[in-house]
Amino acid sequence: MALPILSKTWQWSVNRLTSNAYSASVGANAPSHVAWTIKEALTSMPLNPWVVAGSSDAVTGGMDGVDRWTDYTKIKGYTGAHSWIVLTQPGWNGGAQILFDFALETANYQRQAIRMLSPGGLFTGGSNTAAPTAADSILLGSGYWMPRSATNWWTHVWQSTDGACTRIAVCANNQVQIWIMFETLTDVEPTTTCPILAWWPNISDNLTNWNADIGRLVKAANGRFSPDGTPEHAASTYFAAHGYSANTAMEHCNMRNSYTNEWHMWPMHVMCEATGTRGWFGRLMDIYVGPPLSMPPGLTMPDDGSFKWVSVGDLWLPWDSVNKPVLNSL
Amino acid sequence: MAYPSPERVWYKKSTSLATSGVVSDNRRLLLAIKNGLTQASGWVDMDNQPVTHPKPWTVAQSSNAVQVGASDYWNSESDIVWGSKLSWTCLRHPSHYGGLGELLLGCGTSTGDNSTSNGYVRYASHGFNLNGTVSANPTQYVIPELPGDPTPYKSVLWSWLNNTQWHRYGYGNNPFNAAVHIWHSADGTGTRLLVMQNGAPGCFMMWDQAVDLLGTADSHDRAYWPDGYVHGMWLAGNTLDDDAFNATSDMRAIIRAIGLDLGWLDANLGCCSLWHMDNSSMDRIPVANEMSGNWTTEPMHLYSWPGGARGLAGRLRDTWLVAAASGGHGTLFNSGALVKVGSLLLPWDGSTFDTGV
Repeated sequence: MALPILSKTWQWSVNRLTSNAYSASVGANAPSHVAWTIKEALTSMPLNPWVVAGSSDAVTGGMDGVDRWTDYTKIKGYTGAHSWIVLTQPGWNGGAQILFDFALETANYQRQAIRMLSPGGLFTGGSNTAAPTAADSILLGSGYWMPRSATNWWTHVWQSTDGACTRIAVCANNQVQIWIMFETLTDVEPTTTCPILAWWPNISDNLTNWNADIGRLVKAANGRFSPDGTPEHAASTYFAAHGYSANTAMEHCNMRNSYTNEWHMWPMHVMCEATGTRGWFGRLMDIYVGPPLSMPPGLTMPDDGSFKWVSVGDLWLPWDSVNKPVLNSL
Repeated sequence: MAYPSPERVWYKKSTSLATSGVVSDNRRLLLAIKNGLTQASGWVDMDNQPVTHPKPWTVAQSSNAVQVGASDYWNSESDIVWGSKLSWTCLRHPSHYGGLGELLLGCGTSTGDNSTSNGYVRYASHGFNLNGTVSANPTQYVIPELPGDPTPYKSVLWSWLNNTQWHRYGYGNNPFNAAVHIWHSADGTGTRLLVMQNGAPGCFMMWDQAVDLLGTADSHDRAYWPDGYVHGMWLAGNTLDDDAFNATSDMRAIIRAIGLDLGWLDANLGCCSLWHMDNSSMDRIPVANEMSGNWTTEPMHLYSWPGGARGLAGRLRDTWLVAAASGGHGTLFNSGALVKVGSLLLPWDGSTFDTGV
């Protein structure tokens, strides 16, 4: 079976370790370190990196382009003075922004946060006690973004070289614990003027989570999307893939394809069920869903050690062809 | 989503049949199917311009209950006879299995108004023996297994119906108006046969050659589909909604399984469309896109399930699925370039679709 032809060229920041040493201190520092690691990876991509539009380290804050997250200790979660950051991606809808706001914790744990999307890149204001706001903001999640555990955490970031698509996986305990997507759709429904989608749902506060499975991707409306970029039409989205006979094809054929002896790779389409925004809206690029829970984490294709594709949860993603992926607690 | 365009050149033929009594209705229906498939004339292209079909089906052999042999004995209504002496015809596909595949349409063994919708519908991948009589259908030709040949090509008989009702009306006091629509690609690889009766689908048959086939004869693979030939028949009044294609495995094909040494498999294939949650997306979202007003159309992928040949196998061309709620039978899409029947979208010539009312 010929592997899919990529729509984008990709760059990676992979196998970034947040060691057990951070987690061991009452689980307090691992979320801070993982959040800082994600920010570092996003803002240091060689081509079209994300840009810090503003930040707070709980001491000072503002939308002044200053990166105050100079190390993980600057990320502090409180209901009062707390940390936040706004990241802009110029290649994503011409400058869409993500807010990562640690305003929920009552103690310095950082496992909970508010995540918001501004399709138009309109975040403004903000201080060390309040995050910026945007007229077009869409809530992605408010609650646990990272589970609690004293373990090693491995962060991997994918970004298309044009900035149109970004994916983040944080892995531990031989599973994907955190899965985040900032996508640009292709084959878009003609009237769609804001063809971007963000996926950053809440997760549970434990390590049993499997956050990139079809249960959350195909069978739940965890994505956020507004076809015209307005909050009025912001809707939750499902990812649809092939199915038949009362189930998804992935579940019917939870194995390799007999015809090719390779794992199935099903394209992912974007569907909305929210009244007023119902319908099919497009397709994701360079990401496929495979047989659920059948693929060993970190499995690569083809079977020649070339690391061109990697399994992450129930997903197939392009890999850097260089590094052996580390998705477990080794 | 832009409406899809056919990948092949299609010709179509529509025949209207006004009722004149149940027996006559059944006779004329069988004649219209035979004539529609086998006559090169009477076709139009998708611009509704007359064309001669270069690759019509042919009559391999037939019986009119009096004469039998390698000729077409179905020339008039009186040649269609039910009972102990019965009529049948074998129609040879122009492309499949080296031009050997044959459809057998036969009358049932019982006489009387109440039984004339009964019959035989069979497809033999490599044709039928010339052993039919005025009292019996011919038997399937079986490719002999040659000594020392580890991989004889399998010949398969798909007996879709045996002496039972094969379309929606035409029994007892149920005469019918009908329209027989036949689509036949100019290259001969694809045929669709639709009988509309009294405004609803009465039966639907499909012969096609799938593309984007997965698997090869290479030892790395475990199964392959050497030709992509596929056949499906939905008889006796199927509504042709998306469940008829998604929720059942009514397509048939001959698959070669390698790794488990299963030889040739008579494989059922289901049609894949998009699904989310626990249902097809077109059932979950039975409305047009609420931002654009466009209905979502989906290609039909083929997926087989027998042991040794499990997985996505290929793709059907030039037939798509659309939500049933997008319109009634005969609704035209894309300025008449597509017509909807059940949940199917098929190429069309822009003319008003005859629903057989």
